Amino acid sequence: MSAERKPAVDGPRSSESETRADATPPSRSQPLGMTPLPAASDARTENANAEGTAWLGTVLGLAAWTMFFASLAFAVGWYRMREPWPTLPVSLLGLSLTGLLLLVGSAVLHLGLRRRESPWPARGALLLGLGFLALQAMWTHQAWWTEHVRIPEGGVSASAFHGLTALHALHVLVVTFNLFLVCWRHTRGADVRASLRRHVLGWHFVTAMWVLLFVAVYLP
Amino acid sequence: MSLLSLDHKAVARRYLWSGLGFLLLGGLLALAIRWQWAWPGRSVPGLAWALPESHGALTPPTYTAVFTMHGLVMIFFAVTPLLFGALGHFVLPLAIGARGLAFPRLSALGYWVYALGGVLMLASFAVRLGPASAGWTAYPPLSTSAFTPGLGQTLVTVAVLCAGTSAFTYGLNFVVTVARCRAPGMTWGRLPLTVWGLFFASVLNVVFVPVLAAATVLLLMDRLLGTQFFIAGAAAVGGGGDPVVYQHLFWLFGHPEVYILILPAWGMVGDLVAFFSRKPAHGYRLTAGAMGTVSALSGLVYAHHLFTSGMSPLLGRTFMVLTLLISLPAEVMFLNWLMTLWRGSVRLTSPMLAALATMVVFGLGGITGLALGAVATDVPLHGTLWVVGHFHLTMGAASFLGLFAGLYFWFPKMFGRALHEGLAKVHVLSSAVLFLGVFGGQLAAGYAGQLRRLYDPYQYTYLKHLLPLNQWTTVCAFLLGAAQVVFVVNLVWTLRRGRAAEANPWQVGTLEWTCASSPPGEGNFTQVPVVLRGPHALSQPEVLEQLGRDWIGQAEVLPGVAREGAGEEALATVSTVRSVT
Ligand code: HEM
Ligand SMILES: [Cu+2]
Repeated sequence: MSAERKPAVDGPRSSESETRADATPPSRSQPLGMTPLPAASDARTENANAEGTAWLGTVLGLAAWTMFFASLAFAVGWYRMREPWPTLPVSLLGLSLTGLLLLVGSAVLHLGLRRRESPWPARGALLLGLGFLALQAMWTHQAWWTEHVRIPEGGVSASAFHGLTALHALHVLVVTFNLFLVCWRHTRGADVRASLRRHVLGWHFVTAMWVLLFVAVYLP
Repeated sequence: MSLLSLDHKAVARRYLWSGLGFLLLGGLLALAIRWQWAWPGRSVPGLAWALPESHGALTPPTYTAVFTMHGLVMIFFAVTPLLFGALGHFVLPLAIGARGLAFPRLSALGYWVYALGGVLMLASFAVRLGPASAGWTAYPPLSTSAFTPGLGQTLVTVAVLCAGTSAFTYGLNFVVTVARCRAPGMTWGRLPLTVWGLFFASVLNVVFVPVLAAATVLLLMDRLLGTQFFIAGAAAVGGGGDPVVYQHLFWLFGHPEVYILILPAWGMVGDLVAFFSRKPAHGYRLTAGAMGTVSALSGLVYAHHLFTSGMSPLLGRTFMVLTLLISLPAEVMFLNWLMTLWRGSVRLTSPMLAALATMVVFGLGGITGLALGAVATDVPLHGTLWVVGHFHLTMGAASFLGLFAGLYFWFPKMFGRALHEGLAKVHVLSSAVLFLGVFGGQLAAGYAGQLRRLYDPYQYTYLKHLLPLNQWTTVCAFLLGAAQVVFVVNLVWTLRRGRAAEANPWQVGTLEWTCASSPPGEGNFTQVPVVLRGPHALSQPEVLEQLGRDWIGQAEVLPGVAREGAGEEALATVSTVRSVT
């Protein structure tokens, strides 16, 4: 039974090298008997494996990158403990509604992944992402020009507002751009389901980090 | 192999040559520092072309830049890339029976990001006001544009960010590779200790490098955009921020970083003492577990670098206790190494000598660390050369010798040629002894009160009598530099016309030596091996009896047991691995 099964755990490029293996005779420096394995089986398991590996890499990578935002939040927390944090002259409701776009995007993408093949959830999220970026730009613009929350005059709280908003927006930009690439490849007929699933993780990530940003910087 | 190859062995070789190049640069910078402490203000031989105005003598600003760049080059561009980029990239997939890393493109990309950082480092020497000069820790306010306005400081900060990015990518790659790409039968309990060390260190890389990235990005924004995160005092606008935040973030990364640098060496020592005592590693699980415990605790001790920063005494005491706790698992591991050696038939090959030397210098480094871990003794020792001696014994000498243990061990596998054993032993032994001379001298000077980073210590009356000590230390350092010539000669000669390496020169059973050719072809193995046993099956009576040798491959079927026992077990493992995923 197990004899014709192929090992589940395998390097990423094994299918190509397995074909080559036939051509290369075992070299002299390979003197030892190894239990021969059945040759690679179908490409489907192969693919599923690579997908699983990529998925795990994405999950771990994003989870670890949380530390980046946690560190930023730690810094802001430090300043907030030191002295009272000025209330932002920007409408909190407006900022929350902006963040809501990311949350809605998360929900849309999550539900959309269940329905196979429809490109609309991803395209919708694309719009939501752009909307988020535009609104954040608007709020920072308003803070800077109308309310005079400026760098460096505004001290560390203005630095945190503009700096951390920008760093987060940069992440949203990257995620949105990646999503755009996925949609693009989809319109050209590629099977993008697996990669879409990974990019959706990125979206959830920036959504969660927005919540952190809101609590750390925007709340009075 | 071409510069564009994605093969893990090709990437490893790129890191090897770049890392050795930076090791040379960092070493030369170190000699310049030592020269200054022995003959302050006198022309450094051979430096007149670079510093024509002072006829080759170090001025205070150049001296500051030199020790800053020495530290940064060594940590971020030499030792880490050599341990992970070169040895890790090369060994890890082979040792677990994988055909490559999980993400080959990511690993190649990581190298190029590192290379970009390296170019920025080198470029910073050429800009006006010179390279970075705020110490390797780049503490603000010194590292803000108020005090280091030059472009060099900015370039170097970006370069560190590049090195961090590449560390994050290979850390992630290694973790996923170990989790997903092991050969059938290669259970976690059968991983070589080297793989365990690299694995834990990689976990630390992915978790803590983002912290460095955050600190560095905030610092860059302060430098370039005028934000006020770390600015205080006269330079601050609108209230300013707090430089101490940077210190916390830096050491929250920095302390795990010291374990990132030592864990691969620990792992290699664990394997090598077993291989060359011809015995299974004593307490394998305990050793791996101890490395895991140290890694788990490593983020919880960082504020022992900040005892004198004005932190609450309560926190100081907490971090002191945690720091002293973390040395317990390290001691367990050390005792396991000693137990492995105990009554083994020890073979003093060059990798083994390097591993033993690593143990010695690391042991001394750890003991000197205890004096720093206790608040009462750290307060007078902080900021002295004692700290410098401590971290050079651990991070300089131990990681360096561990690196060479690995290099001497795997060189025949990497290049298919055997290094000259005699020269290798001379290199290892002389380096080890001279390391003790150099860093012992630093400990002594620090104990006598010499502060680190002083341009001319002898301006202080109470340090005047330390001049002869420092001069002797400098002599040791120059001899240490000269000893590296032995390695370079050996390397160049071997690559040109060294004899072909035997298939398994060290007579060990790990996959890279028993299932792959030297050097391994693309895809590493003609057939993915099925692993049957752990990495240290040495001097097993039944193997001796049946095969007439004291070692057996991790994937080698013992004749006789083939059909009934081990064979079945192997197939069973294949199907379990399969059904689990
Ligand atoms: C028994 C284990 C160890 C203990 C208790 C310990 C303790 C300490 C303490 C308390 C300091 C801060 C001293 C001060 O600034 O006043 C320190 C500095 C340092 N240690 Fe250790 N350490 C240990 C092992 C290591 C290892 C294994 C490494 C590296 C591989 C290492 C590398 C460093 C570095 C790089 C610094 C400071 C560098 C700087 O300030 O520029 N230590 N150690
Ligand atoms: Cu530390």
